[in-house]
Amino acid sequence: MNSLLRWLLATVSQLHEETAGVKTISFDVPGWRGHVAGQHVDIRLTAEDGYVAQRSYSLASPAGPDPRIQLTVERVDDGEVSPFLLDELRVGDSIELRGPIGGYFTWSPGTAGPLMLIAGGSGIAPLMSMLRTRALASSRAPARLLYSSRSERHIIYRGELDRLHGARDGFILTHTLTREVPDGWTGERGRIGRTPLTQRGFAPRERPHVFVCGPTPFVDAIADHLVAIGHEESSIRTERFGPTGESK
Amino acid sequence: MIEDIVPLDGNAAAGRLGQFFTFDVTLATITCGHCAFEGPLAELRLYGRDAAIVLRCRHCDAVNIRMLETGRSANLDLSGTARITTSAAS
Repeated sequence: MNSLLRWLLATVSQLHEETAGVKTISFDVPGWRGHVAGQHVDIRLTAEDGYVAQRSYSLASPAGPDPRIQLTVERVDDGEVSPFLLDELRVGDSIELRGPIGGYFTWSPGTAGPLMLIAGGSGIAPLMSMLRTRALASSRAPARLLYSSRSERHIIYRGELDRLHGARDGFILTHTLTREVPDGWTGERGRIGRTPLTQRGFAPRERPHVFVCGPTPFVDAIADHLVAIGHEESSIRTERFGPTGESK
Repeated sequence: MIEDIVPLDGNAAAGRLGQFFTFDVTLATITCGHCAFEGPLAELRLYGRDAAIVLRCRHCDAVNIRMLETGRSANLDLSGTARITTSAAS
Protein backbone atom coordinates (compact mmCIF):
# COMPACT_ATOMS: atom_id res chain seq x y z
CA MET A 1 0.00 0.00 0.00
CA ASN A 2 1.15 3.48 -0.84
CA SER A 3 2.43 5.31 2.23
CA LEU A 4 0.92 8.55 0.90
CA LEU A 5 -2.41 7.04 1.76
CA ARG A 6 -2.03 7.05 5.48
CA TRP A 7 -3.95 9.72 7.36
CA LEU A 8 -1.90 11.05 10.27
CA LEU A 9 -3.12 12.85 13.35
CA ALA A 10 -1.56 16.32 13.47
CA THR A 11 -1.70 18.38 16.66
CA VAL A 12 -1.55 22.16 16.58
CA SER A 13 1.48 23.42 18.50
CA GLN A 14 1.43 27.08 17.53
CA LEU A 15 -0.72 29.64 15.70
CA HIS A 16 0.80 32.81 14.29
CA GLU A 17 -1.09 35.58 12.53
CA GLU A 18 0.99 36.64 9.51
CA THR A 19 -1.38 39.26 8.05
CA ALA A 20 -5.13 39.88 8.25
CA GLY A 21 -6.73 36.64 7.08
CA VAL A 22 -3.48 34.67 6.92
CA LYS A 23 -2.09 32.43 9.66
CA THR A 24 0.83 30.07 9.95
CA ILE A 25 -0.22 26.91 11.76
CA SER A 26 2.49 24.71 13.27
CA PHE A 27 1.68 21.04 13.75
CA ASP A 28 3.37 18.13 15.49
CA VAL A 29 2.88 15.09 13.27
CA PRO A 30 3.98 11.76 14.78
CA GLY A 31 4.88 9.39 11.94
CA TRP A 32 5.86 12.21 9.56
CA ARG A 33 8.50 10.87 7.18
CA GLY A 34 10.06 14.20 6.18
CA HIS A 35 9.55 16.29 3.06
CA VAL A 36 11.29 18.21 0.31
CA ALA A 37 10.60 21.88 -0.44
CA GLY A 38 7.47 22.51 -2.48
CA GLN A 39 5.47 19.45 -1.43
CA HIS A 40 1.97 19.67 0.01
CA VAL A 41 -0.37 17.88 2.38
CA ASP A 42 -4.06 17.06 2.21
CA ILE A 43 -6.22 18.07 5.15
CA ARG A 44 -9.48 16.22 5.82
CA LEU A 45 -12.25 17.57 7.98
CA THR A 46 -15.18 15.31 8.84
CA ALA A 47 -18.44 16.82 10.11
CA GLU A 48 -20.58 15.09 12.71
CA ASP A 49 -23.02 14.01 10.00
CA GLY A 50 -20.17 12.33 8.07
CA TYR A 51 -19.69 15.07 5.46
CA VAL A 52 -16.04 15.24 4.45
CA ALA A 53 -14.17 18.28 3.12
CA GLN A 54 -10.64 17.86 1.80
CA ARG A 55 -8.12 20.51 0.68
CA SER A 56 -4.43 20.63 -0.21
CA TYR A 57 -2.03 23.03 1.51
CA SER A 58 1.62 23.65 0.72
CA LEU A 59 4.26 23.04 3.35
CA ALA A 60 5.96 26.29 4.33
CA SER A 61 8.56 24.82 6.67
CA PRO A 62 11.99 23.88 5.32
CA ALA A 63 12.76 20.43 3.91
CA GLY A 64 13.95 17.75 6.28
CA PRO A 65 12.81 15.01 8.63
CA ASP A 66 11.42 17.31 11.36
CA PRO A 67 7.90 16.15 12.36
CA ARG A 68 7.06 19.74 13.31
CA ILE A 69 5.65 21.19 10.11
CA GLN A 70 4.12 24.53 9.17
CA LEU A 71 1.31 25.49 6.82
CA THR A 72 0.45 29.08 5.95
CA VAL A 73 -3.28 29.34 5.28
CA GLU A 74 -5.24 32.21 3.75
CA ARG A 75 -8.94 32.62 4.27
CA VAL A 76 -11.05 31.79 1.22
CA ASP A 77 -14.38 33.56 1.71
CA ASP A 78 -17.18 30.99 1.46
CA GLY A 79 -14.50 28.31 1.73
CA GLU A 80 -15.32 25.14 3.66
CA VAL A 81 -11.93 24.46 5.22
CA SER A 82 -9.89 27.66 5.60
CA PRO A 83 -12.43 29.46 7.87
CA PHE A 84 -12.28 26.47 10.21
CA LEU A 85 -8.48 26.42 10.19
CA LEU A 86 -8.25 30.17 10.81
CA ASP A 87 -11.12 30.75 13.23
CA GLU A 88 -11.82 27.53 15.10
CA LEU A 89 -8.53 25.70 15.42
CA ARG A 90 -6.73 26.12 18.78
CA VAL A 91 -3.36 25.00 20.12
CA GLY A 92 -3.72 21.39 21.25
CA ASP A 93 -6.45 20.53 18.71
CA SER A 94 -5.83 17.64 16.31
CA ILE A 95 -6.85 17.23 12.68
CA GLU A 96 -6.29 14.58 10.00
CA LEU A 97 -3.58 15.15 7.43
CA ARG A 98 -1.70 13.07 4.85
CA GLY A 99 1.59 13.76 3.16
CA PRO A 100 4.06 14.83 2.06
CA ILE A 101 2.65 14.65 -1.46
CA GLY A 102 4.04 15.28 -4.94
CA GLY A 103 7.49 15.28 -6.52
CA TYR A 104 6.53 17.64 -9.33
CA PHE A 105 6.56 21.09 -7.72
CA THR A 106 9.76 20.53 -5.74
CA TRP A 107 13.27 21.92 -5.42
CA SER A 108 16.38 20.67 -3.59
CA PRO A 109 19.59 22.60 -2.84
CA GLY A 110 21.59 20.16 -4.99
CA THR A 111 19.72 21.19 -8.14
CA ALA A 112 21.96 22.84 -10.71
CA GLY A 113 20.87 26.17 -12.16
CA PRO A 114 19.30 29.36 -10.80
CA LEU A 115 16.04 29.36 -8.87
CA MET A 116 13.36 31.79 -10.08
CA LEU A 117 10.32 32.16 -7.85
CA ILE A 118 7.15 34.11 -8.55
CA ALA A 119 4.49 34.37 -5.87
CA GLY A 120 1.06 35.95 -5.64
CA GLY A 121 -0.29 36.49 -2.10
CA SER A 122 -0.23 33.35 0.02
CA GLY A 123 1.30 31.51 -2.95
CA ILE A 124 4.53 32.45 -1.21
CA ALA A 125 4.18 29.43 1.14
CA PRO A 126 5.85 26.62 -0.90
CA LEU A 127 8.40 29.11 -2.29
CA MET A 128 9.25 30.13 1.28
CA SER A 129 9.93 26.46 2.02
CA MET A 130 12.40 26.50 -0.89
CA LEU A 131 14.10 29.69 0.34
CA ARG A 132 14.28 28.41 3.92
CA THR A 133 15.71 25.12 2.66
CA ARG A 134 18.24 26.99 0.55
CA ALA A 135 19.32 29.15 3.53
CA LEU A 136 19.60 26.20 5.92
CA ALA A 137 21.78 24.35 3.39
CA SER A 138 24.00 27.47 3.07
CA SER A 139 23.37 27.15 -0.66
CA ARG A 140 24.67 29.99 -2.80
CA ALA A 141 22.59 28.97 -5.81
CA PRO A 142 21.43 32.20 -7.47
CA ALA A 143 17.81 32.76 -6.46
CA ARG A 144 15.32 35.50 -7.20
CA LEU A 145 11.81 36.04 -5.88
CA LEU A 146 9.18 38.31 -7.40
CA TYR A 147 6.43 38.65 -4.85
CA SER A 148 3.11 40.30 -5.61
CA SER A 149 0.98 41.56 -2.72
CA ARG A 150 -2.05 43.81 -2.58
CA SER A 151 -0.43 46.29 -0.20
CA GLU A 152 2.44 46.50 2.28
CA ARG A 153 0.30 45.16 5.11
CA HIS A 154 -0.54 42.09 3.01
CA ILE A 155 3.11 41.00 2.65
CA ILE A 156 3.57 37.61 4.34
CA TYR A 157 6.94 36.69 5.96
CA ARG A 158 8.12 40.27 5.34
CA GLY A 159 10.79 40.46 8.04
CA GLU A 160 12.21 37.02 7.24
CA LEU A 161 12.33 37.76 3.51
CA ASP A 162 14.18 41.02 4.22
CA ARG A 163 16.72 39.14 6.33
CA LEU A 164 17.24 36.51 3.61
CA HIS A 165 17.72 39.27 1.03
CA GLY A 166 20.11 41.10 3.39
CA ALA A 167 22.32 38.02 3.73
CA ARG A 168 23.75 38.78 0.27
CA ASP A 169 24.24 35.11 -0.48
CA GLY A 170 22.88 35.22 -4.00
CA PHE A 171 19.20 35.72 -3.18
CA ILE A 172 17.47 38.84 -4.50
CA LEU A 173 13.95 39.84 -3.47
CA THR A 174 11.63 42.10 -5.46
CA HIS A 175 8.25 43.12 -4.10
CA THR A 176 5.42 44.46 -6.18
CA LEU A 177 2.26 46.04 -4.78
CA THR A 178 -0.89 45.87 -6.86
CA ARG A 179 -3.34 48.15 -5.01
CA GLU A 180 -2.00 50.52 -2.36
CA VAL A 181 1.51 51.84 -2.95
CA PRO A 182 2.94 53.99 -0.12
CA ASP A 183 5.00 57.13 -0.70
CA GLY A 184 8.70 56.34 -1.11
CA TRP A 185 8.05 52.72 -2.19
CA THR A 186 11.14 51.41 -3.97
CA GLY A 187 9.76 48.11 -5.26
CA GLU A 188 7.67 47.45 -8.33
CA ARG A 189 4.10 48.61 -8.79
CA GLY A 190 1.15 46.88 -10.37
CA ARG A 191 0.72 43.33 -11.54
CA ILE A 192 3.76 41.34 -12.62
CA GLY A 193 4.09 41.66 -16.40
CA ARG A 194 6.81 40.92 -18.87
CA THR A 195 9.02 43.87 -17.90
CA PRO A 196 9.67 42.90 -14.25
CA LEU A 197 9.96 39.24 -15.27
CA THR A 198 12.68 40.24 -17.72
CA GLN A 199 14.44 42.83 -15.57
CA ARG A 200 14.16 41.19 -12.15
CA GLY A 201 14.11 37.52 -13.14
CA PHE A 202 16.69 35.33 -14.85
CA ALA A 203 17.00 35.26 -18.64
CA PRO A 204 15.86 32.10 -20.44
CA ARG A 205 19.48 31.44 -21.52
CA GLU A 206 20.47 31.13 -17.85
CA ARG A 207 18.15 28.11 -17.75
CA PRO A 208 16.47 28.86 -14.42
CA HIS A 209 14.09 26.49 -12.65
CA VAL A 210 10.92 28.56 -12.47
CA PHE A 211 8.24 28.04 -9.83
CA VAL A 212 5.02 30.05 -9.91
CA CYS A 213 2.42 29.85 -7.13
CA GLY A 214 -0.67 31.91 -6.47
CA PRO A 215 -4.34 32.28 -7.32
CA THR A 216 -5.35 30.55 -10.55
CA PRO A 217 -5.74 33.74 -12.68
CA PHE A 218 -2.35 35.02 -11.42
CA VAL A 219 -0.56 31.79 -12.30
CA ASP A 220 -2.23 31.57 -15.73
CA ALA A 221 -1.11 35.13 -16.55
CA ILE A 222 2.48 34.67 -15.33
CA ALA A 223 2.89 31.36 -17.16
CA ASP A 224 1.78 33.02 -20.42
CA HIS A 225 4.21 35.93 -19.88
CA LEU A 226 7.09 33.56 -19.15
CA VAL A 227 6.55 31.58 -22.34
CA ALA A 228 6.18 34.83 -24.30
CA ILE A 229 9.60 36.10 -23.13
CA GLY A 230 11.25 32.84 -24.13
CA HIS A 231 11.23 30.51 -21.13
CA GLU A 232 10.82 26.85 -22.01
CA GLU A 233 7.47 25.47 -20.92
CA SER A 234 9.23 22.48 -19.39
CA SER A 235 11.27 24.78 -17.10
CA ILE A 236 8.12 26.32 -15.58
CA ARG A 237 6.35 24.59 -12.70
CA THR A 238 3.04 25.98 -11.54
CA GLU A 239 0.84 25.60 -8.48
CA ARG A 240 -2.63 27.15 -8.56
CA PHE A 241 -4.60 27.49 -5.37
CA GLY A 242 -7.93 28.67 -6.76
CA PRO A 243 -9.81 31.89 -6.09
CA THR A 244 -9.02 34.60 -3.56
CA GLY A 245 -9.69 38.32 -3.32
CA GLU A 246 -6.20 38.83 -4.75
CA SER A 247 -7.32 38.85 -8.38
CA LYS A 248 -9.71 41.78 -7.97
CA MET B 1 -19.58 27.33 -5.37
CA ILE B 2 -16.67 29.26 -6.81
CA GLU B 3 -14.06 26.98 -5.25
CA ASP B 4 -15.27 24.23 -7.56
CA ILE B 5 -15.19 26.11 -10.87
CA VAL B 6 -11.71 27.63 -10.69
CA PRO B 7 -9.31 24.85 -11.66
CA LEU B 8 -6.25 23.76 -9.71
CA ASP B 9 -3.38 21.56 -10.95
CA GLY B 10 -3.41 17.80 -11.14
CA ASN B 11 -0.63 18.00 -8.54
CA ALA B 12 -3.27 18.73 -5.89
CA ALA B 13 -5.07 15.45 -6.67
CA ALA B 14 -1.99 13.32 -6.00
CA GLY B 15 -2.93 12.43 -2.42
CA ARG B 16 -6.26 10.87 -3.32
CA LEU B 17 -4.95 9.26 -6.53
CA GLY B 18 -2.25 7.70 -4.35
CA GLN B 19 -4.91 5.25 -3.20
CA PHE B 20 -4.57 3.55 -6.59
CA PHE B 21 -0.89 3.88 -7.48
CA THR B 22 2.34 2.81 -5.86
CA PHE B 23 4.46 5.48 -7.55
CA ASP B 24 4.37 9.30 -7.41
CA VAL B 25 1.58 10.04 -9.89
CA THR B 26 2.52 13.72 -10.23
CA LEU B 27 5.51 12.71 -12.36
CA ALA B 28 3.63 10.19 -14.50
CA THR B 29 2.93 11.15 -18.11
CA ILE B 30 -0.73 11.11 -19.10
CA THR B 31 -1.72 10.73 -22.75
CA CYS B 32 -5.09 12.34 -23.44
CA GLY B 33 -7.62 9.87 -24.83
CA HIS B 34 -9.14 12.61 -26.97
CA CYS B 35 -6.28 14.64 -28.52
CA ALA B 36 -3.27 12.44 -27.58
CA PHE B 37 -1.53 15.39 -25.87
CA GLU B 38 1.14 14.11 -23.47
CA GLY B 39 2.15 15.80 -20.23
CA PRO B 40 2.73 15.28 -16.50
CA LEU B 41 -0.35 14.42 -14.49
CA ALA B 42 0.57 17.37 -12.26
CA GLU B 43 -0.24 19.72 -15.14
CA LEU B 44 -3.77 18.48 -15.79
CA ARG B 45 -6.57 20.85 -14.76
CA LEU B 46 -8.28 19.77 -11.56
CA TYR B 47 -11.96 20.54 -10.97
CA GLY B 48 -13.86 19.66 -7.81
CA ARG B 49 -12.51 19.43 -4.29
CA ASP B 50 -14.36 16.91 -2.20
CA ALA B 51 -16.13 13.63 -3.00
CA ALA B 52 -15.86 13.98 -6.78
CA ILE B 53 -12.97 15.31 -8.88
CA VAL B 54 -12.32 15.59 -12.59
CA LEU B 55 -8.94 16.04 -14.29
CA ARG B 56 -9.04 17.60 -17.74
CA CYS B 57 -6.46 17.81 -20.51
CA ARG B 58 -4.80 21.24 -20.48
CA HIS B 59 -4.62 21.18 -24.25
CA CYS B 60 -8.16 20.17 -25.40
CA ASP B 61 -10.05 20.27 -22.07
CA ALA B 62 -11.37 16.72 -22.48
CA VAL B 63 -11.94 14.74 -19.29
CA ASN B 64 -9.01 12.38 -18.73
CA ILE B 65 -9.63 11.15 -15.18
CA ARG B 66 -12.63 11.05 -12.85
CA MET B 67 -12.55 10.00 -9.23
CA LEU B 68 -15.39 9.48 -6.80
CA GLU B 69 -14.88 8.84 -3.11
CA THR B 70 -17.53 7.85 -0.63
CA GLY B 71 -17.04 6.79 2.95
CA ARG B 72 -16.99 3.18 1.80
CA SER B 73 -15.13 3.16 -1.52
CA ALA B 74 -13.04 5.03 -4.04
CA ASN B 75 -13.76 4.78 -7.77
CA LEU B 76 -11.32 5.78 -10.51
CA ASP B 77 -12.52 6.22 -14.11
CA LEU B 78 -9.63 6.34 -16.61
CA SER B 79 -11.74 6.00 -19.76
CA GLY B 80 -10.55 9.44 -20.98
CA THR B 81 -6.87 8.48 -20.71
CA ALA B 82 -5.10 6.66 -23.52
CA ARG B 83 -1.93 5.84 -21.55
CA ILE B 84 -0.13 6.37 -18.24
CA THR B 85 3.65 6.30 -18.50
CA THR B 86 6.07 6.27 -15.60
CA SER B 87 9.81 6.62 -15.75
CA ALA B 88 12.00 4.26 -13.79
CA ALA B 89 12.89 7.11 -11.42
CA SER B 90 9.32 7.88 -10.35
